[in-house]
Amino acid sequence: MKRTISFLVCLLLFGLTAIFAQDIQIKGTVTGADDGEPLPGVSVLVKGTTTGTATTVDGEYTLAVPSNATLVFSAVGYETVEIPVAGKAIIDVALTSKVVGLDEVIVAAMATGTPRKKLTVSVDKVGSEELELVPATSAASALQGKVAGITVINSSGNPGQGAGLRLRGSTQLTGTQDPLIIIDGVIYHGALAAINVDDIASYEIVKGASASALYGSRAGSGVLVITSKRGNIVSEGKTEIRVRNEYGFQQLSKKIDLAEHHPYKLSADWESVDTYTRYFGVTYPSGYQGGQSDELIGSRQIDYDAYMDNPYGVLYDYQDDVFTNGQFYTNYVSLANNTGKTRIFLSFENNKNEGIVWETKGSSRQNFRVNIDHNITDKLKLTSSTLFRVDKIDMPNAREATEYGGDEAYGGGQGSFIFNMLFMEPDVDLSQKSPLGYAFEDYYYLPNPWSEEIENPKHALFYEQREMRRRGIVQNLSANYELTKWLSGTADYSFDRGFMYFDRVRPKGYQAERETYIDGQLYKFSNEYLGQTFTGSLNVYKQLGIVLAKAKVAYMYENVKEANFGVTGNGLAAAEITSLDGVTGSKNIESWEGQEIARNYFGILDLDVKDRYLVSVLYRYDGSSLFGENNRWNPYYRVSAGYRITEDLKIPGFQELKIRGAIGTSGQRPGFDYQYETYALAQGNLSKSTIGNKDLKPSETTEMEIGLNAEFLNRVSLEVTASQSVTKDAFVAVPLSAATGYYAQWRNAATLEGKSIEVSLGIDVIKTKSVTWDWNFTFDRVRQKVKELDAPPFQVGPGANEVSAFYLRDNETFGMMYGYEWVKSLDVMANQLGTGETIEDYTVNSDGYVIEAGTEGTRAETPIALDQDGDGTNDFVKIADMNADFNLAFSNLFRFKNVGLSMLWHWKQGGDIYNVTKQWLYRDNRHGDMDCFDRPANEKKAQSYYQTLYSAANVNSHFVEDGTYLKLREMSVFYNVTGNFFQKAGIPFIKGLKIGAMGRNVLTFSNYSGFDPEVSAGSDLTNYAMDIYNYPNFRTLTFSLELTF
Amino acid sequence: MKTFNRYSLIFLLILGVATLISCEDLNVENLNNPDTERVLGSPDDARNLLEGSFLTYWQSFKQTNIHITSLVAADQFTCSWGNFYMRWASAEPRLPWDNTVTAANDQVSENFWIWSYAALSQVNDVIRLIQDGMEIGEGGSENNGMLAYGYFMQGWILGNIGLAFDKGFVVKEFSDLSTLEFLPYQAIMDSAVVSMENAVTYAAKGEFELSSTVINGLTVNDALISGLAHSFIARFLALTPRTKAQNDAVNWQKVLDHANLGITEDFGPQGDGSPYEGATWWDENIIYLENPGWARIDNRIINLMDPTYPKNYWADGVSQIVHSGLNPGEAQSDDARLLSDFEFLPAVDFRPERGYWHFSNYRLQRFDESMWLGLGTLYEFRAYENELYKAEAAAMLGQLDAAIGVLNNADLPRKLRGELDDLAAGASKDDILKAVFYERDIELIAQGFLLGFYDMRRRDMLQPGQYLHYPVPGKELETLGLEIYTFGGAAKADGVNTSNGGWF
Repeated sequence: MKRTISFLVCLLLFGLTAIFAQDIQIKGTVTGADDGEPLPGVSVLVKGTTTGTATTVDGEYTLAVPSNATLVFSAVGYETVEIPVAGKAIIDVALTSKVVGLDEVIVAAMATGTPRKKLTVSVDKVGSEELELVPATSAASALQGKVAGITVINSSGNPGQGAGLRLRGSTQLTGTQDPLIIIDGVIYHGALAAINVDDIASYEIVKGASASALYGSRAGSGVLVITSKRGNIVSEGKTEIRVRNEYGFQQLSKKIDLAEHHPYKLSADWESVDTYTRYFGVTYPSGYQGGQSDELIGSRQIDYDAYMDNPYGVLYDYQDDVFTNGQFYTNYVSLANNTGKTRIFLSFENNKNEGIVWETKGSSRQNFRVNIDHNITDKLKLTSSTLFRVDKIDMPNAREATEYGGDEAYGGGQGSFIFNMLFMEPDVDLSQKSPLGYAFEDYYYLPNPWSEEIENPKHALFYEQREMRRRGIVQNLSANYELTKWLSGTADYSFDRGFMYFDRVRPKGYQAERETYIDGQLYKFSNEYLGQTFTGSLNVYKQLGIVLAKAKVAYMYENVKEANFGVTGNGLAAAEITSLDGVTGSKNIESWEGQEIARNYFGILDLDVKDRYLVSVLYRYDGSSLFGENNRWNPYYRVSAGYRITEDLKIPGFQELKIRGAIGTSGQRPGFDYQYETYALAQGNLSKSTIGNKDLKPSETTEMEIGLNAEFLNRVSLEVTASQSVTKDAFVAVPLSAATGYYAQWRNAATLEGKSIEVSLGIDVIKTKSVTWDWNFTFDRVRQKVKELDAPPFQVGPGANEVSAFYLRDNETFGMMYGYEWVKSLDVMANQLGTGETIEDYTVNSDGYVIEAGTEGTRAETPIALDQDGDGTNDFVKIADMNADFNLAFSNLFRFKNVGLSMLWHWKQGGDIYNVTKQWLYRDNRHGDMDCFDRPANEKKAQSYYQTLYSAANVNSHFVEDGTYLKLREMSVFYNVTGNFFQKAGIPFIKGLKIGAMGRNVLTFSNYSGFDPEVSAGSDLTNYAMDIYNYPNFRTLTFSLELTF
Repeated sequence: MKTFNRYSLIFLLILGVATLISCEDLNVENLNNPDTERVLGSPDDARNLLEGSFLTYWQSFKQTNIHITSLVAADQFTCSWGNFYMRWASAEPRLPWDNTVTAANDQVSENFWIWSYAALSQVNDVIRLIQDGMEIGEGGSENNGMLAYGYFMQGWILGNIGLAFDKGFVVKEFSDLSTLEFLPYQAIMDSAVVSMENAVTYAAKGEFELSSTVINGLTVNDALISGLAHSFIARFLALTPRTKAQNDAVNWQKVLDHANLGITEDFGPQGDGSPYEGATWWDENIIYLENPGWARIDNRIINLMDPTYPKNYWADGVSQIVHSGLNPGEAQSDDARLLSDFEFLPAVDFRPERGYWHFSNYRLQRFDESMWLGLGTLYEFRAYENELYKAEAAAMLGQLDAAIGVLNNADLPRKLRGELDDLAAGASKDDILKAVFYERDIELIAQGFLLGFYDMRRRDMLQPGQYLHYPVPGKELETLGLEIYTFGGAAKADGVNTSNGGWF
């Protein structure tokens, strides 16, 4: 049956295209004057008659008219223009928009390009003007604070790493919540961080499952449609060259407060030395200057009071040492040319993002873009969009628990340079020379005689090389053939080919994890990806009386292949050799390959009745090799409608008021391995892994949304959307009893629920010829919960340090952290008194914790864990919710003549963070909280008090911190010199000059104690708000110079 | 029209051909991991699966860290670092075992549990296939060898579960997984002994020899399996007791009988290099127990060799009171192994605020070759251990001369490596047992699997509050929807699941 359907659709697409043909006499393209984007649906009428047409999806029209006629171009939200034909065969028009907000054209999620006013679902758009104010360092983080309902988390500042994205609530129980990303029609799999922003004409953000239904089984987490600039940004016959150079530096925004005192007893003559701390209980060899020595005798001892208020003999600040000011620069040049028949856009970007870590070079990236549009005939148009991307990241030392893979591999995690830098006692000279006999003289790897675990962060940073190189081609080739004025066919082939190569060299003599790599080690890993899609569609665009009908039927074929290959080689023949041929010891080899084939059929019909009643219906039927053998096909649908009230009812002050509603479904495909029964293969040996599941279905998110769009007072635009989604059949690796021999089985075992409210408000506060001031507010509030879990409750979280603090079970907020709680009031304590105790035996200490009365300030002072059921074990309770109460962003752009000033503020209210970094700093007596030196006597705490709170690294409420922040994410000041100036100056070929200064991640106001409250870890960066020794986010300040020719 | 014909034809051709080509099937094969059908599909593959079970299982208990945790709990080793729960497992007074799923230590017992059953399941699948008629080798010529090896693996895995946990599943080749229930450790041990007896039975049916890659560097044949099965039965019977009373009630004649039929050569694979450099056959426990900077030898062990040496680092070691003095100095002993197997380290880099009970100036250096290079034999069952079962059983049965004979045997380590004086001819049963356990503590240290822990347990010597065995891991209980329980801590010192005895 499936084959029959596909054959019929194939036949239909093949056959229908041959039937129609039509003549024309006058033609042209209508674009928006602001962005040069084609405007579909513009009414083109012969003045004084009813003869007319509407522009196509590409903004084009053809019309037979008398030679003396005048054409009237009108569209919602644009100034109407009248142009006499005067014998011309081609009339191109650029329409100027009337007011802010709702008039931009959206190409995503609907049958064809649709003005935002006529949308029936939620799609936001961020255009180039907004993006260019402060061009983001990459396409990954450009949307931060610009759109309601999108969560963008830069979990770390590591250049090239990218961000975690989530649109509205989560639709997956574990793993990434990233939306489907489409770049110029290509389903993009690579890193967004590898893509520049200067080329981007717009982002369209297809937020919920109903809006994204058009994209079916890959779009449950929404869709991000990125469109690059094309030759049509300049008018016909014109060529424009834009050159932009930006240069600046990057710096750490905030240091972590570390302890500068210790609890150990000092020797009586401790002040006689200033290169190390001389402790009581230790005999030092003569001439000892500090550092590792076999001749130390004895051990350190805790001082009587155990307060951390004893000074070190010498004090270093490793944060000053390890974090440096890095460079940032961008060189960008683009050329746009429009000959009418052919439109070309070429660009090149060179970007260097050095980051802030000593001895690492950060990322360098080159993007080349070639976008060509060519009209072979009036009816046959070819479009080609090509992006070549190359980037290279020199990464700092990281945990790499699972070799390459996972975000922690970018720099951070247990045992990484940052872990060692934070936990090294502050009296250790990191530039300490190695003892005789070591291959590397500098930065001895174990410089602290009192810790064999914390290694010299500089040893790894200096000697270990970790580099990732990525390259790829993203290409779309499209042919559109106009069969009749109202029917066209499109054939579209696209591919995304990506290659990633990771190379780690631990040279001969390199030491970490206690001398285990002294003979050197190579690790090389590559990943190759090829995703190809072919789409054939028929597009209808026809005015039928009062109804404008837009429809599309399409068939889409996807074929994705991916393969990994990795080799570890141990022992190097010679110091400088980094080839696998030079490996003298063992070599371990790993490989993996996977493929996906999918076939999708869909049809969509959008009806626009008298510009006011809007209806859209779609159906999609997806088949994928990733679905279990017994459930290879799954349907999706959407019904949406809108009503533009102000078209029927004049409301004073209102230019536009629309209500809309939609219900629809989309989903997620299972991972490649999910359906298969697997035996794990390690070094050729077999062991059981997961039980297969032939019934595995795609998960399905059904979403309902209602929305309101308004424009009023000629200067305010408002959009409000409320949505509710239910994701059924979410994937869960359901743990199995060990007795089965298998670890888990992937099942459709969870239902997730999401609710969100989004508000966007744009105000033209001042709108005069010389002064404009635009304000934009975005607000969102997202709630998500696990409605049902058809499996035993279990915990998830980022893998590092096995911190699984998020508890998944029926009817629980998704992102709720569980752990131990401390007793904070005597009322609570009264419920867990021991035999013979009274509440008088307890008191509340200066930190707000209940302790035994009389123990405050002594070694016996101990916070008491909550155990209300009296079973002798700590209660396992809710301790934190990582979901933000709300996000509010405020961007504004002020222009006075040629001077502009922009700012983007982002306020995240609430949303807890679990600070593992802080917890482990407690473990090692390194956190500033523990330093009692400057503290009043009655607030001093013994070191053991803090160790109780550390609690064997168990998740507990003491390390939950409020993640509220207010960030000045972006700021820019710029000055435009117009073409007139250069004309007068005798250099007319210069059309414009823009100079500016800009800042990214400029200021953060927060009570969070870590580097930055924007932090997370693991596979789900938007949900796992945990601080696990990450490479910190930093500030970038630059100057920019832009010339247009 | 001309234009239409040319270009539209090209367009239509591309559209049509691409559409038709792309209507392909949706079946994709997983080329990375085989499924059961493939793995158990042919006798050759089934053989590979069974033979590979040794490595799967080996890695399950040599690369999980329950061994390390248990040996610090048994005061053979000590460590103030938190890895593998060492800091808390050796804390004084003893703490309850944190069996919650979020506990920092959860993987210590959980990995061992899960991986053991995974290997067991692999073994059972192949035994079942053979018992159901699969022929391995021409006309089933290898069936008996495979079954002997398979039942040995089955018994070994089950026995280790019964020794370490209070209860568990007994899963065998024809078990119905849907009706499995937890059985107490005694029943598991009984079942493990039955499996070992099956191994003996099948080994007796004819000669066989497995590939030398099955256990790196060892020839696995009918004689080895038979000897091993007997030795393991002796070990299981002797080490099952949780208390001294239970130990006294062991059928020591049976122990003696099996030990007499046990191994005469050391059993254990050869290490093939450092795990950090890609080796397959390695023992992570040795790395962490020996490596300078990680665990150290508990003063209890040094005190056995030099009774003048403090049993605890300081007499007031429990109270964390600041003391004076630098370290207890080097121990002196008649036992040559003090110098050959242990190293004195003048400084202690442990954290004093975590308790002086962790402190020690000695580390084990006996297996440095294995630790640094990953080479040498990774001992799982020394022939000497088998000899010591003979001695212990003989002593328990009142055959004191026989027991003394073992201890005074000049070819065995007590004399050969320790260079100790002969045990007097009239030595008492207690003296003999003391010497046996001394040998077990000194000569067998860090070898086998949790031996030091089991030996302390069956002598009522584990510190008060020390759990006597591990509870079923919280994750398994959570998966089954059962309430999480645990053992350990002074409040639970019942002498059944938690120690109410002690050694100092």
